[in-house]
Amino acid sequence: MRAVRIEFVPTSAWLAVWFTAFVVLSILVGWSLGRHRSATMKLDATHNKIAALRIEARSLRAVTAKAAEAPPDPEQRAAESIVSVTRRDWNGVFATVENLQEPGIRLTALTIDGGEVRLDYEIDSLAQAAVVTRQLNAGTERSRWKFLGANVSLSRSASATLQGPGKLNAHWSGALADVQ
Amino acid sequence: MWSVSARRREVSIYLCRAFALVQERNAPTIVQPLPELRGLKDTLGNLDRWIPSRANLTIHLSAGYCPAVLIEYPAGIYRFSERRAFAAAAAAKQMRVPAASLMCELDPSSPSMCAVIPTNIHQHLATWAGESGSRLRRLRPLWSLASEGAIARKAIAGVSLKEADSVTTWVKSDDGRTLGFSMPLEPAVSRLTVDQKIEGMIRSLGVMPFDIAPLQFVDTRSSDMHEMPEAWRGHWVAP
Repeated sequence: MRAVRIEFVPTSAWLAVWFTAFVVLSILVGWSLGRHRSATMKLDATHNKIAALRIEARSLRAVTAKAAEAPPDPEQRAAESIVSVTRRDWNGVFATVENLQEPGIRLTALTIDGGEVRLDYEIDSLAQAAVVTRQLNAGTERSRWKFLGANVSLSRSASATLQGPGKLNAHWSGALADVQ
Repeated sequence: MWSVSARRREVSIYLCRAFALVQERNAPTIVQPLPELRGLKDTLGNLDRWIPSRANLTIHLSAGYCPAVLIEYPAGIYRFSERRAFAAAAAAKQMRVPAASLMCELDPSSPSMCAVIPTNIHQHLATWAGESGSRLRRLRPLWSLASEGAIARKAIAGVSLKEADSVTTWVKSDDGRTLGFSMPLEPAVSRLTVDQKIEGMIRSLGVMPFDIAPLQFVDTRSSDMHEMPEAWRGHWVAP
């Protein structure tokens, strides 16, 4: 037969059950709060890192933009110019100089400046300058080389008084694109 | 070095209208005969000298103080709180007392047999325990304790527990329910009349008297029935 269990004083068994449940629940809540807090802290740290990286990227972008906007360094420009000069085809210019068969003249300088080539010759007279101009532009429909002018060479003028008639420094220039 | 022990002592008390038993763990049982027609308040006053202060009290009441009442529930009452309220009202009606004067408790697994205790007795016990600094930890009828014993659980048809002031009988019905009730025993009534009353009571539950396992609870320590609860061992008798 089944026992008939009767008790007039409320037992603390239910209290113990509730207490245990409360403790377990508290532990669970505490654990999940701890996890939530840890996750929040990690998330905050990640957000901070992202913000720092964004700031860094922004500053890098600013530096890059500034560098792009900044005027080029003269030395760098010179170097770039040299590189671009060396990359050009100079055969046309050199051929022109080599083909010039006027006796008594001497090439003293060949200058490249930007898009222009300048030839300096030591000549005897202005008449010879006309001949040289003609020869430089020989074989072309339009005159690529222009006679700029001539002046007396000071060093030569001094020696001219001692050694005979003086020499003239004559100058021609042509567009680089035309003379190549 | 100071040492303060806050541990309460466990004391068991049995109360019926004829005597009281007090037992502290591992100590001999104290039997306190009670003169007839003494109120519970006086009875408890007599016990004060045996109860240590700040004790944990377990009180077992005889069916004279805490009888079993048979309750038949109408269909549709299944919730425990509703059954308890109905049982309290039905018990008050059977005993012809106001419902407020009774406290009712029942075992959810055996709701057809409820225990009732007059409210004033419950209050007396709680007040008395509180005044002595003790704590009333358990309060239950002795027949409920007896039902937990192996003899009661192995009984095929039912059990009858005779106490000095009452008899309680509970049986297993055909549909598996536990049915039972208590009956007071007047001191002046002869033994033959008592036996006839008990027999009639058993028959009223639909069981033959010889199928019932008889038990008796006595004031003197007479036998060690190991098949009964350890509490009050020696006071259980199988006549």
